[in-house]
Order: sequence, then C-alpha cells, then structure tokens
Amino acid sequence: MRKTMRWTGGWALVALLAMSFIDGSVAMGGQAAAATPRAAKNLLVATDPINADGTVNVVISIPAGTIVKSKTAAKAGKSGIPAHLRYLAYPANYGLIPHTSQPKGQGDEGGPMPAIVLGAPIPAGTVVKTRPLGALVVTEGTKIYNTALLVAEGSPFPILNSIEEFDVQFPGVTTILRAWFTSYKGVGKDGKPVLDSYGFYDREDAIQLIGHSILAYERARVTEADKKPLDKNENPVLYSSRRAKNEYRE
Amino acid sequence: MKRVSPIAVGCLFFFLVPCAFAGESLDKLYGTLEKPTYIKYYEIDKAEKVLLNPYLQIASAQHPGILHSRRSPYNWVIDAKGRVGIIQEADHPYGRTYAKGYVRPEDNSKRKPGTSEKYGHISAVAGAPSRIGGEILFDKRTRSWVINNKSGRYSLGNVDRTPEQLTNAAKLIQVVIDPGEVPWGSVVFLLKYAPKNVADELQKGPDVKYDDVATKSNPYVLVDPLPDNATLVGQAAANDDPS
Repeated sequence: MRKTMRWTGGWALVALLAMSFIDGSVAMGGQAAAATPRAAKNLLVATDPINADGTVNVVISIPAGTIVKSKTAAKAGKSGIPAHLRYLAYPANYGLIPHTSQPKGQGDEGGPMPAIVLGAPIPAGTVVKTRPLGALVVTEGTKIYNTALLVAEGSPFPILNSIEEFDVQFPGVTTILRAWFTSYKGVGKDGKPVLDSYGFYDREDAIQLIGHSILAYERARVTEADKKPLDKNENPVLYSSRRAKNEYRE
Repeated sequence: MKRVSPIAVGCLFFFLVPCAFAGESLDKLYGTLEKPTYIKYYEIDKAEKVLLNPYLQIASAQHPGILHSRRSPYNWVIDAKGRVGIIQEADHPYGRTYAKGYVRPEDNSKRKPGTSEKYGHISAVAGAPSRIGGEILFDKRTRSWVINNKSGRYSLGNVDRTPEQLTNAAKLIQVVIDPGEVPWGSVVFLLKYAPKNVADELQKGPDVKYDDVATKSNPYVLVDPLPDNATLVGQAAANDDPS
C-alpha cells in the first residue's frame, strides 16, 4: 500500500512538473506565473492574427492582477525566478497580437503590437479571441506606443463604437487603465513621469491600427521569390476555382 | 429490435427542423452558398491558405460593424451564417504592382499601368462558399453610402443573386453596420453582375438606368430597402447631433 502511494505521488509530481513546461504557466496560490519567453514566441509565430469570425487573437503574457513581468524572465538569472513589477498589479490582461509589426517610430519598432484585454484574468500563454474596443496611446519621450484595447469573447464588456460611450456605461475603467499604463515606470532622473498619454483612439481607429500592423508584418516577410510566377506574357494567372485549403471553420 | 425513445425523437425533431429551416431562410434571403468563381494566384499564401483581410469586420446584431468615409471603398459578402463580412481595399502582400499594366485572366480586361493587386471579397471569408456580395461606396456627390452587388466572386454567375437578394442584404447591412456620420443612400443593382435571364428582363423594363445614356454603358436599377420601421445602428445618435 505504502509502495503504491509513493509511486502514485511520484508520478503526480512528474505530471505537475511536465504541465508547467508544456503550457508555460502554473497556477500557484491564485497567482499565475508568466509564460516562458520561448513558449510565448512560438505562439506568436504559430497563431494567426485574425479569425474568420472577425475576432482578433491575443497571446496573453501577463494575466490581470499579477506583477510578474514575463519579458524579463529570461534575465532573471540562474535562479529562474521571474522579475516582478515594483508597482500595483496589472489592472487588465496584457499580451501581444501575433503576426503584427509596429511601424517605424512606434513603440517597439518591428515588434508585435501590444494589447490590453478586458475580462476575467486569463492565464499566461493563452491565445484568447477578442474584439477591438479602442487603443491607448502612450508616449515615452519621442516614442509612441499604440496599445490595442480589446474585449475578450464572452466577457461582460460590450463592444461600443467610442470610448466616450464605454466610459458612460463603465465609468473609471479607461481612467484606471490610462493612469496605470502611464505611471508604472515611475519618474525619470528629472523628476518627471517617464510616460505620458494622448488618451484613447476609438474602435474604428483601433481597427485601422491593428490592420496596418498586420499588413506591415506580412509585407516585411514576403519577398519576390515567395510570389507565384506570372505567365509568359507577364500577366497574372488564376490559382484555381476550387476551394482553398483553409476551409472556413468556427 | 431496440425501441427508440419517443422523447429522444421529439427532441431531435425540434432541434434539427429549425436548423434546416434557418438554412433555407438564408438561402432564400441572400442566395445559396456558392464557392467563389475563382481565386487569384496571389490570394493564397505558401501554405495555400487564403489570407484574411487585415481590416476584416464580421458584422452581426451582436457585434455591429462600423464604417468611415475615409476608408471607402468597402467590399461586403454575406457568409454562411448570414453575417456581413466587410473589408477595406489594400494592396495584397503577395500581389504585384504592374508598371505597364496587365490583362486580368478572369475576364481578359486590361488594367492600366500602375495598378496593384488587392485583397478581394474572398479575404472576408477565407475563400469559403458564401452568398451574395458587393461594394459599399462613399458617394461624394450625395455624401451618402451606396450599396451595390458588384462581386465577381460571389454575385456574378450565380442564378439567385437577384434584386430581391440585394434588397435583403442591404436591409441587413443597414441594421448591423454603423454608417458613422454618413447616412445610407442608394442601393444599386448592377445588371452586369446579375444572372443573364434577370439582366435581360430588367434591361427591357422601364426602371433601367445607365451610367452613360448615350452608350447605354453599365446598366443598373435602383432598389429601395428601407421599410418604415427599420432600426438603424447609429441613426438615433446621428439624429441627436445636428452637426
């Protein structure tokens, strides 16, 4: 009996450790650890930005209510303990939109578009379907960071056309987000806040920003060699009249 | 032989029959599901998947779409579930710009120098079978949105893409899409994208109009989709704001 329990306990421990490597996150005491940088990077490459139902995919890196910074986990040192934000916890889920590239002069130029996702806390490493609500504009010196503001599918937050309408129904939400995302880096050596904000773009502008960054990503990766050849008269040809391989699925 | 529970049969009946009727209703309202008449060489990526338009919106009563006059023209298509897919024109990453122009293989028409290959209607539905499709254009003269049935993939060549289907599609579009500050305008049924028998019949009638009366080019008829009690997304807000 004792031998059986030892074996069972041992395999349970192995399974638990294996799960933490597989999905990159383990819930411990209600606080999820950040996804490993490699796992997150794989998801950013393997996941499409948009779905056929019009939702936008976001790879969550930091769940709402946590203070773990996944992007600094790689620099945590040999201890492997991720770095923690020295501030209040994230007020909403934070992640990146896959297959996007921020244009010149914006944020992490060439990097994926960041995203704030409203809804219940979502574990790091999750790919969540969302819909655009707006975009928060944060500045750091001359750099502009456009962060998409999205609503997770199934969350109680509705999709409205303007931030103004959203503020009427859910007062304080955007105020909290703007205050947090412009304050978490504190003040600089000059005693002034490191970050500032122009405020929010509305939904229609957010759709444009996300679309521009998807296009920028695709155009950066497609070369002439990737394009199918023209016919002998330098005219385009049809692919086929049959259905494409990504048959519509929900 | 096993007896099948009548309750189980009843439940199955009440589930399946409404589903069947729903599909039939959509077929009648917006046309039957048909594959796109063609897919262009550049619309497929290396994995032979159709790229979705980066500005894609799938509009429904639960998730309305939104337009802006600066982004015109839009393309629209009614998908299998009766939702409206709307996309903006943009140069396709796998397409080319032709300095000397080119001949389109789908209709042998010539395109002028400098023309670029763009996302088409199939990028709203990943190339899936769909119903009627067309364009939403900002008319600078009337400063209103014009809806038409211009889609070579999903309107042209299909027998049930008639003025009735366009009327129903326009009604749906005007309910599930916010036009922004621009009001809805005309709904135009282009005979060039109609089934031949329908086009021939309409051409003989009194309602046909032409872009150029002298040459009788581009014939069309106007359809009026707005019933008196239509609920329009954004209309109430627009009425409250006189500016």
